[in-house]
Amino acid sequence: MEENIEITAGLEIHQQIGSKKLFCRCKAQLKEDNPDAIIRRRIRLAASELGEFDKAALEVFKKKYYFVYQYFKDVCCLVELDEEPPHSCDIEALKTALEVSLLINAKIPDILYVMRKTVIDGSNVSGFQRTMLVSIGGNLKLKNGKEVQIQSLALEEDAARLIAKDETKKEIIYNLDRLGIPLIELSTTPCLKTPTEVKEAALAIGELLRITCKARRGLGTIRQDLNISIKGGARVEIKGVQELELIDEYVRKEVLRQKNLIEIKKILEQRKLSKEELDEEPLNINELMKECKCNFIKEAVQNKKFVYAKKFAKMRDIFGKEIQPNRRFGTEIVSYLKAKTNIKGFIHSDEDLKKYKFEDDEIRKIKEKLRINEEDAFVIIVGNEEDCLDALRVITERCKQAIEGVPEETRNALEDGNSEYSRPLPGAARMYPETDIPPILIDKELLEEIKRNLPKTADERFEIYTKKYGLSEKLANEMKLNNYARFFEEMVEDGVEAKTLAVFLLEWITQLKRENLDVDKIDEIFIKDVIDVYMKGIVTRDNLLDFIRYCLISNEPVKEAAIKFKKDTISIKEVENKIEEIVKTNRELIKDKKEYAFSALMGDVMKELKGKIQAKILSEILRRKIAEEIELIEKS
Amino acid sequence: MDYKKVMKKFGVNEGEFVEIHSEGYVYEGYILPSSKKEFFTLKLKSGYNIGIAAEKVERINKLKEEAAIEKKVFKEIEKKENLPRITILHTGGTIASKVDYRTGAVVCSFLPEDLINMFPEISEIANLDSRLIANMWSDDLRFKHISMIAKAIKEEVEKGVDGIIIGIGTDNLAPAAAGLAFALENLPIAVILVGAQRSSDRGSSDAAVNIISAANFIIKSDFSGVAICMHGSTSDDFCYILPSCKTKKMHSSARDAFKPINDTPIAKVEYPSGKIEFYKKDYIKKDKNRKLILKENFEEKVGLLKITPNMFPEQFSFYRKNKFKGLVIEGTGLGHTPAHVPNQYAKIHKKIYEEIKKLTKSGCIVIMTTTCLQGRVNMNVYNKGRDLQEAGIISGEDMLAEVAFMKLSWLLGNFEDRDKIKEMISKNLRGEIRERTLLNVEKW
Repeated sequence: MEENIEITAGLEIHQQIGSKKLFCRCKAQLKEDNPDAIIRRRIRLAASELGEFDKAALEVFKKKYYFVYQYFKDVCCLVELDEEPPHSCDIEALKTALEVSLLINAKIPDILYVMRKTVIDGSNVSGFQRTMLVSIGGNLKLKNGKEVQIQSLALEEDAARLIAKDETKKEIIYNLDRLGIPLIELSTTPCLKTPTEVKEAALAIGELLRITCKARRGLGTIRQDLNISIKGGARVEIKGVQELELIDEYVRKEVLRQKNLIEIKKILEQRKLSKEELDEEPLNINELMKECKCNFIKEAVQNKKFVYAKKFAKMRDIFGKEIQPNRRFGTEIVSYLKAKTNIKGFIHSDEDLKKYKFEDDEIRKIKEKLRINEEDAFVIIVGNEEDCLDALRVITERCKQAIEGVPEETRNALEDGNSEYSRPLPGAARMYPETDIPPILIDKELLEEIKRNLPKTADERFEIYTKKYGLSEKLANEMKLNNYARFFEEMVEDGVEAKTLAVFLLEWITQLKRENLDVDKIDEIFIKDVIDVYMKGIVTRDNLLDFIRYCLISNEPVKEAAIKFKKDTISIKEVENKIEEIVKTNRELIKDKKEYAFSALMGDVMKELKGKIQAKILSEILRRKIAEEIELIEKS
Repeated sequence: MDYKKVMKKFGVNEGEFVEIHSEGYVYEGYILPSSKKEFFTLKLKSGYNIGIAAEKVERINKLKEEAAIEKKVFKEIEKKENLPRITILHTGGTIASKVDYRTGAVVCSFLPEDLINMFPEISEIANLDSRLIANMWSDDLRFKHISMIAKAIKEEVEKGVDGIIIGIGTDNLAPAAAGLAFALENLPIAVILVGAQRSSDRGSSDAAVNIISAANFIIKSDFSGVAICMHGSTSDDFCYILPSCKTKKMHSSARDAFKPINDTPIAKVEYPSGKIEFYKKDYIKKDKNRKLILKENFEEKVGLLKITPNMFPEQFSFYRKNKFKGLVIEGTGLGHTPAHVPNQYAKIHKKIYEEIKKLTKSGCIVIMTTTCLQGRVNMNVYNKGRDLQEAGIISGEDMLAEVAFMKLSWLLGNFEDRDKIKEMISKNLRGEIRERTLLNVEKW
């Protein structure tokens, strides 16, 4: 049924790329430990191009938060802190953005300008995000043959990571680790017509970005925003959809929301509600509430706070109307209050007021005081006077919008496929040039070079990997979108045995990581060296994993490790046997002390094998053997 | 090919909304002034700027112009009668700079209305007046500018204002502060120099905190004299009020670049509370009845020479040959220059020492300071120092080289008696010399 609704949707995909930050030489890595420093800043409003303040920014700014930044010296420098001008653009990230542009046949301008996009929610320390338009237009074919039109591709900095919001201290805490990681922002035109199509486009764009082998992986490395409207509705931007698989669900639920808002509009039309009728004065009802048993009202009256009530003419049953599963129009309004005021909730007459312990008599009195008729609704707000009036203004404003239908706005994706209001749609005049970075002239030769080396599509890779390289379908499927894919192809074309390399890249690295070895040492040079040793026959296939392990533990350059390993290999088997013998004879001890048996047994091992092989390797083997033994013991 | 020629060919102008056809693609946007003449700079509707090679442009069509952007008119500020008066004197620099969001050009803004718009908190604490006296980056600072600022300060003081804030570029902010401190004797009120390390167009600018803290300090304290107000840390938590003659910009870009050298800050101003904590007690108190004496002359021909390894006599003779009246040497360690010949490679140093002697003999007054920044010059410890003293070089004590430089030009500009000038060099006049060198505990 849903496929019959006329929808207009577009996607904006943000994918982190590369291993360095975009405008400084810090590595792109997230941190979870204690920060090395905490910095507190304020962001002030900058006059925008119009000489006016950006509406979106104003709403957040009004709350006057302090921004607290967690700084990690491993992954941040003065650039993230906005204490130093940006360095030049990371060339690898730029190359990737150009490559994707060429893959979609987009038009790359002759000069790229880095711009500053005003952001004043604190997520960019500077108060702006650096971004550059890398290409315009282009297209992408979906599996069903439909062509998705691309609007633009930009290369920009990721923002700092929101950690917490402390309302009482008025602080918003950000981790700076993510700030500055390169992002490709790829936007489609509003050419998508069904929820399924949106999902397919999202998957296709995801795959397109992955075949570059530069897309970062893991939670939060790809985020999608959704632009959507239905006939009679309005353009709404849903931000921060993390699960690609869920994206069609967001479309469906937004369609539902817009349909229901249109229905509300129709009801209000039938009731002939005018905007002026909603301008009823709010009334203070502290006097009426003196005896109220409702906990929070009682508390408020005692603490000299205010209880305000306001009539909403002809709005009966509207606040209680469900607009998304488990989300009523009232819930929707709460998200406006959260975003714009200090009030976090309200009571309305569509609710069962008895559950708040209001007495019939009290309800009657309120209705009397507000002159509530059959079709009317009312709202009760508790808080200090200014906040109450502020909140009632926001509610009134939103109800007036309901008369017109669906408001244009930006919404936050909620986990269940619903969404909530976050801010108005950003205005267009939010960008001005980054004067600290000279314009980037696109070098023709660089473009030609990228063109000559464009990556293969996933399907092409699968074909080649299975047919030409002889990989199993399982390995080929894993390899085709792996970040090592292009390196893999290069190596195999150079004569390296495909299967061994694939197993190394796809299975062994994971296994070694599980063994808690420092797999960060495994970079392309390391792999090349290891494979070189293998291809020369210094190490056999059977010994290859052991050899990699040996390299990681001994921390020696691969080529030198190979010579020692060769000397040790005969003894390594012996060593393994010897250690196993020691472990077996001490089974009881291991049963008793588990991993702690290590230090006792290490003494025995050293007695037997000292000098024959590096102690580090002995201890590593012992540790592994003990772990295996513990597993055996636990199984039995 | 020059984009302007191409514009002419198609009859379009900068600022117009156009479509440009190039290599089979049509771009729509506003033509901006371009810094590279072979390229068009186009501002697209999305807000992005792009560059298009002029030679590849096949056609340009002028499109219907978008509705003109209406500038917001700021309402006139109402002066509140009971508030103190502060004048902001602008000289340019990052603190006054804003970006023209359309072209990206940096422009300055000086109207009090603009300032109130940018820093609305100030209108709560003072009635603001604003005057533009120069529009320049402080790298171009000359003594004449300092004299000009000093005169403007005098005019404002005579109008009876309660304090003056000077917005100036940070690069030469500290030397300017020292220059003004010397030029303004018996200053009845506070004159606070303020800069910004991040321009006001960005949300994170330090300008507001610095200006508001300066205003708070002027209004809420009884301090008089010249001082500097800049960020005390990288956070927006507080500013230091720094001594005009003991401060140096110690970082090329960070907010808390300004540090007192061989001294402590005068006070700390918390932000946003405006709470003031004094570290110094011996400042001269505000007294609007005190009569300001202006001594705004500076001798033009004064130089500053930094000592490095491998120097040549010509680097010293330059000042004599060009008739310099004064020279500050930023010497190594306790105040040394190359002057001895320990072995064959250093033969040339004998000539250097001779040049130094010739220089002082020519009438040029030479002051010794130290590249170490921290600590004091003492030319008694090594022979070399004694030789230099013998050659007539005067110890700059614990003065910063730039401050000694400003002081020497000022002395030469305002006093005739050379013996008196020499005497005043080593004497503290404006807080530029401290008799005691204290342990640097960084905790004030």
